[in-house]
Parts: sequence; C-alpha cells; structure tokens
Amino acid sequence: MTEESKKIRQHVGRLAVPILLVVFYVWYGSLILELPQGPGEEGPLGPSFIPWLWASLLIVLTLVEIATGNLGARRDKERVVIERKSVLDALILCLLLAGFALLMQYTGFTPAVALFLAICFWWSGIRSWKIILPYVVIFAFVVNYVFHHVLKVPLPQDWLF
Amino acid sequence: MNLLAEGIVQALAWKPFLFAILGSFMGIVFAAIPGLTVSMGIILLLPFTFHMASVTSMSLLVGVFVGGMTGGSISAILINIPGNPAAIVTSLDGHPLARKGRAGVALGVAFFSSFLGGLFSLACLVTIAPQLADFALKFGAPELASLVLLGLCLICGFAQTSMSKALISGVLGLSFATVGMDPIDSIPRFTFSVVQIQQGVSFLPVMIGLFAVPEIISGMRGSAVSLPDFSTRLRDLLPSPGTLAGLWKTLAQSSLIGTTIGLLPGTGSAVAAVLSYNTAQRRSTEPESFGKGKLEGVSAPEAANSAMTGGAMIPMLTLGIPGDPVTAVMLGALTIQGLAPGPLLFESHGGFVFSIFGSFFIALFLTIVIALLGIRLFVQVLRVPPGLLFPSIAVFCVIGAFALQNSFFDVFLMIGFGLLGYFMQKFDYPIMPLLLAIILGPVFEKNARMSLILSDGDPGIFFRKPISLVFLALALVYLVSVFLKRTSFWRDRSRA
Repeated sequence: MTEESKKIRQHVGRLAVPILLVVFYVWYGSLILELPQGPGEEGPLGPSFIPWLWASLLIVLTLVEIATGNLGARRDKERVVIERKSVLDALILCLLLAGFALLMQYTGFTPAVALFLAICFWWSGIRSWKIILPYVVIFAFVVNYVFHHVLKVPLPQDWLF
Repeated sequence: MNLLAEGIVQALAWKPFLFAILGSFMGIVFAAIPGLTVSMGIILLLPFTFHMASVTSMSLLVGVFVGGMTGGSISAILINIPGNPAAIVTSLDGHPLARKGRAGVALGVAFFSSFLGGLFSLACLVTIAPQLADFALKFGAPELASLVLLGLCLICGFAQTSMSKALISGVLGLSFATVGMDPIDSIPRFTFSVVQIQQGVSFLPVMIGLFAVPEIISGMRGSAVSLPDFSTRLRDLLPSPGTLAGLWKTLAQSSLIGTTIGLLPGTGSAVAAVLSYNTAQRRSTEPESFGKGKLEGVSAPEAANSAMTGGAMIPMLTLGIPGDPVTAVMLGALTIQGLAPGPLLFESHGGFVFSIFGSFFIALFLTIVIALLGIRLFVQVLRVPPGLLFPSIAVFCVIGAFALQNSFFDVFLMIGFGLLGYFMQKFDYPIMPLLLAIILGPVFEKNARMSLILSDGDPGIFFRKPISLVFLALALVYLVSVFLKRTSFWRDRSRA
C-alpha cells in the first residue's frame, strides 16, 4: 500500500464517525419535522422543542469534531486502528446473543442457555467436551432453578419445563 | 445519630445482612477479575433484586459497591493487572512490593486503607446528605434544569478524550432520551408504534448493553493468568499497628480527596486515586521511592478510591444526579424499587435512606473480614479461564435485560446498545456521558420546558433565579476553563 493511500484511509477513518453523525442528524431531523404540535398550542415549546435543541447542538459539535479531528490539532495525534478480527468478534457475539434470545422463545430457558454456552465455549477456544458438557448442564439447570423457583424471576419456560 | 443507629439495626436484620455478605463477596470477586467491573457486577445482580424488599436489595448492591472498591487491589498487586481503573495506581507500588515478596503486607495495607477511607466517606455522607437534601427542597423547575445542565457539563469535561467527543456522546444520549412520551404533552415521539418504547428507552437494557457487552466482547478470547506464590495466612496479611500509624497522614488526606472527588459528577474513582497518589508523593520526604514499592503508594489510592463511594452517593441520593457508572446503576435500582432519588426521598423515605447508610457501614466491616479471610479463594478466582467466565456473564446479561419487563425487545435493545458501546470505545468516544444523558435527559426536558412555559417562553427565567444563575455560571466557567486548558495544551505540544 502506498503512503498516499494509507493517508487517505486514515483520513476516511477519522471522518467515518462524523459522517455517521451527520446521517443520524438528517434522519433525526426528518423525524422531528413529523412531530405534531402540543395540545396546548405552545408554539415553539411543543414536543419538538427539546429534540430540535439537541439536533442543533449535535450538528454543531459534529462540525467541531470534523474541524479539530481532521483539520485541527488532533489530526496527527489520533490514530483509530480497528482490527477486522475484533469487529468480527463483536458481530459474532451479538449474533450469538440474538440467536440465544430467539431460541429461548421457542425452547425455553434451559436448552437455549446450554446451547448458547456450548457454542461460546467452543468459539472462545475451550474444546474439551469433558469440561463443556457438565458445565453447561449444571449451569443451565442451577440458574433456571435459582431465578425461576427461588427468586421468582419469570424466565421463558416452554420446552422441557 | 439515632437515625443512623436505626438504619444499622434495619441493615442487621438477617435477610439484609445475608445479602450484604453476598454483595461484599461478589463485589470483591467482580473487582478482582480483570475485565469485570463493579458496575457490571451491580448490573448483573439487579435481576436478583426485582422481587426483594428495598432494604434487602440495597444491602446487596451497596455491598457490591463497597466490596468492589477493595477487590480491585488484589489483581493489581498480585499480577500487575488492575481489576478496576482506580487500581492502576495501586499497582504502581503494590506490584513491586509483591515482587519483593511482600504481597501479603501490600494486600493488608490496601484492605485497611480501603476500610478507613470508606468509614471517613460514610461519616461525610451521613453529615452532608441530609443538609444538602434540605437545601435542594428549595429548588424549583429552573434550578433543577440548570443543575442537570451543570452535571452534564462536568461529566463531559472530565472525560479523558476530546471535549467535542464527550459532548457528542452526551448529546446523543440526550437525543435517545427524547424517545417515548413527551413529558409535558404526553405525545409519543420517535416510537415507530413500538409499544415497548412508549415510556422511553428502558434504562436497564441500555446500561447492560453499554457497560457489560463491550467488556464481554473484549474479554471472551483472553487467557488465564499465572500468579506469584505468597502466604495467605491472616497474620501475614494484617498490617502492624505501627505500620498503620505511620500511614495516618496519607490516609487522612487521601480520604478527604476521595470524598471530595466523589461529590463531583463524572469524576470517578480513577481520578480520586491518581490525585491522592500524586499528593502523597508530593508531600512525601522520599518522593523518589514511589513506584518502587512504597506502602504510602498503596495506601493513598486505596483510601481515596474507597472514600469516593460515600462522596458519589451524596449527589445521587440528594439530587438524583449520579456521579459515576456505579451510582447510575444504583439510581436505576432505586427506581426499580419505586423510589425516586432526590430531596423528596429524605422526606418521604427517611428511614430507608438511613438503612442505606447502615448497609454501607455493615458492608465496610464485612468487606475487610471477607477480603482477609477469603484471599485464598479470590486468588483461585483469578485463575478461571475468561472463555468460561464471560459467556456465563453474557447469560446473566440476557436475564437482566429480559426479566424486568419480560420483554425480548429489551434483549435486542441491550445487544444494539452493546454494539454501540463497543464501537464508541473503539473510536474513543466516552460512554459515561451517553448513559448519564439518557438518565438525566427527561429530568432536564421536563424542568426546562415547565420553566419556559411558566415564563411565556422567556429564557431569562434561568438567569433571574439566583441559584439557577449560579449553576449556569459554574457550567460556563467550567466549560471555558476546560476548553482553554486543552487548547493551551495542544498549542504547547505543537510548539514542542
């Protein structure tokens, strides 16, 4: 990779968040425009007053961030390096959590926990079934018993229970 | 004094006492394990408190808070990996002491300093909080709006990153806080006809997402640590009376610094620990020996770190403004119990507030006993592979997000905010202003709009009220001073 293309990548990297913030601002602003006036007909003090205040402040701060982060004093100090692997790890974990929540709706708490834990252990490098199996079974049953039966915290109980 | 005694008696009933033991133990464990935090510990224990009596639930959570302030020193001293940000400073002298074979003494001094710092801050809490609550009863809508604004400015100013990033984080939080019913006209805003957010973005899933999920993502693929051998016998851990007497000046000044720092929203225990360590070093007759294994270098940050707890509870209980992530979570816990922190809490539930103070007192004693007697167990806990630990914690996160409203929507909200928190950390945007803005946003909006409606839209109402004017002036002075300090810093750096 040439020096020039490296610089462009870093520049784009520093601009990524401000660009996202501008997109958020446009979306948020369009939603504010759709808000109805208050029943009291208070004019500018209706339900859109505070959202407009925050939206205006957000766009000003975003411009300040673009100016200081990309053109100003911090341009040479700030190097946001995000490895592809860490982004992938974050996405995988969030997908696993979402899968766990979805599965829990159909199978109930205990089987979903057992499966979720087993996959997570395998993924994080624990590959011994002698450790995984007893741990997930005991953990799932104990947690379900403690929350559902002792603490009376309702957990989805469907399949098996 | 009588009220405190009554509070202690309430906290000594068998159930609150049992949960205070559990809380102190869990607090030490959560703070000792690198990657876990005290706020995460409290968040994960919140679902256990949903169906508890309020005194019992607060005994558990205060126990975690107090225990957590002590536990961070264990991994900092033994393996040079701080269990919490404040313990970074403890490791500077604690770990060199451990390498010299004096791990037991370092741990003992850390535990006792923490205990004494906590006692000092409790005394301040009991003395100051009722007076401040009395004074805060005089606040009307303009004063409350200005106070919240001041709190948000302080939080943004203390952020370790750029001021604009901290402010962006805060304003994003304020934007999220506008989701749900408008507090004045009861018109739904930004709800997209989703029933679950009609009452606003649920606080608990957001908190779990922002604080716990990024830690789980980062910690999942870590490896277990190796520990040095040292004596865990009680007599090797107890510091001699002479050692403690030699530390009294450090303990006194650090406790004072810790409590004062705790009073300021957004500062947190790390700031208290750094400031007290620097002060101890500056005032020492042997400043050059700091960083090489000096007991004052362990005692100062630990006393300040623990003293911060009482200080941080003062604005949370009296004004409803949490000073740090832990008190933010405690505020959430009180809300779940149907109690609204603020000056009225002292009027309507004075007995309960003093039971919190009583729980604090009990937790301080329990923590030091558990830390000294259970050190062998805590050392073993440090050996648990992160691959086993973090997925199990993820399960508790899902339970916590789900159980409050029996809603899978909240679980997905938690995951969404978890991703947001993770990327915010990666891009150096502080999370704390976002969270506190979500908590304080509705309070600000309600009071600011009520004030403006009362004054027919004239913003001068915020400047005509003397207390409100003082808060606004403080916010402005603070923001300008932070801005000037940072621009001069960058100017000096670019010249150099």
